[in-house]
Amino acid sequence: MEAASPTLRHLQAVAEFGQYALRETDLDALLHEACSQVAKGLGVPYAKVLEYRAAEGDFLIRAGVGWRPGVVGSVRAPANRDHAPGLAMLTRQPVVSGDLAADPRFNPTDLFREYAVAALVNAPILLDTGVFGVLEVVTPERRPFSTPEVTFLQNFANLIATVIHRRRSEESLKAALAEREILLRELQHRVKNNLYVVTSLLGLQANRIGDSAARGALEEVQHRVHAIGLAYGLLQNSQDISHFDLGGYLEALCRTLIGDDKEGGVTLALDCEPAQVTLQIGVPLGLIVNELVSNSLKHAFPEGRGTIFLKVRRDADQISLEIADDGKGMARPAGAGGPSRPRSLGLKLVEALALQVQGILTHPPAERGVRHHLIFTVPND
Amino acid sequence: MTDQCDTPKRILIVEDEALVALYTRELLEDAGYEVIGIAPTGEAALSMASVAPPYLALVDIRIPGGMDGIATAGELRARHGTGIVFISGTLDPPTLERTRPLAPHACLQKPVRPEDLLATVTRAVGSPSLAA
Repeated sequence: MEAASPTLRHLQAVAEFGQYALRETDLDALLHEACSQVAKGLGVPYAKVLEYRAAEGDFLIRAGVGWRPGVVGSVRAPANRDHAPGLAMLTRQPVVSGDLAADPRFNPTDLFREYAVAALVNAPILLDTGVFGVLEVVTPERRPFSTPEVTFLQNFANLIATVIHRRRSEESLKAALAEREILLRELQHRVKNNLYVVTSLLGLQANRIGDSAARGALEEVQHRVHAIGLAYGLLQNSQDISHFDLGGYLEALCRTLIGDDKEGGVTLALDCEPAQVTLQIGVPLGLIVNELVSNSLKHAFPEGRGTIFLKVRRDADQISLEIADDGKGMARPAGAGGPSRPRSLGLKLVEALALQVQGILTHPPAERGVRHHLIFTVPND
Repeated sequence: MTDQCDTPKRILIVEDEALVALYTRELLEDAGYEVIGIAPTGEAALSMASVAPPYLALVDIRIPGGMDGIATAGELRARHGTGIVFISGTLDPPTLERTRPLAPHACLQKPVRPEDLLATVTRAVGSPSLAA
């Protein structure tokens, strides 16, 4: 098989590195791969990337191939005109020396003496924001480097610059996203705290009202605001910044309405499948459950004993919610399909909120007590 | 040596939201408890406690000043043997872990319903761990 021409070798090296850069995210691994490709492409035993360190005013060998252990990551090089990498960085141009011993421009470094370096090419790695460093190939044999070879090395340095630029953009995007999440969580925390202030205000006002009906009305509002605040609280503790588990939320809400299960009192029977929802869906559902459970507690159990059932089912993009009790039930007027208690604000709210989530609310017949069923499609977020 | 309060009903509220603190105070006082004060910061809490050591402190975790609620509760417990109920909007696992050494009676997540708060306080005041 015929050996590939230098130009073809160069194109292959660029193509292979491009593919590698698409799947590798670790910068050190990318720089190492770049060194391997340029050494192979130019037929030299040694290559390295020197990273410029502005604070120290020198270069650090960040990656390389062919060098003994202890060179990459440790050995530094001067960043001045007396050395090829420094000159390449300062002039922003490739620097070539086919016979280093006869080149009056440069002083050899200890590393070059150790490896008897006789010829080199350096190409600066230039970013929009300044110089990242220099890509360098060296060989212990004197040899000229052709213009296509120098161009190949500079093209590779430019490719490395593009990869670094992309990587830094990704990092700054990730940092911005993390910052956004912190701000959003802080905002949620403040909303929840303010809702708590509102419930406190309502409580303070209710304490000053002698009329029990008026006080009861304020307390109902207090419960509704509490239901909203609870959703924000769960969201704050949720791994996902925008979703929380509907069953967990409704359970917490019912527990605060019913209190602890105790023998001879009202108990809660839960059957909830996991269903992640956003605030936009969770809050209306919380308010619906708040009304229906409060209603059951108020009317269904004159003896103070019974069970409230809560069921959540998730099927693909549909969620169904069932709230029921085994209380005394409701009298139904002839021809009516729904509950016959006076149309309280609570039930009006339930119907309006069911509409808000574009759900279908029904009140299926029950052997005992009442049953409410709501089914709706979860919108795409 | 702690200067422990032996009046079971004496309670300190550590809360920087004035209206929340005021409402909590009314709830407790209506239920028959004595609220020795409302402290918006940890430093204010320690100052109030040095005058009238509380048996129980309801402590918000996120409060302004040099000490957060957990550090404040630690000092109240060490100096006066005060029982602690944390009430906070932030009860993530790392925060809960930090409260553990103080063996609080409860950690309540805001918003807390009045019934739950009173039930917790009733349980705490009768707690045998502090009654001795």
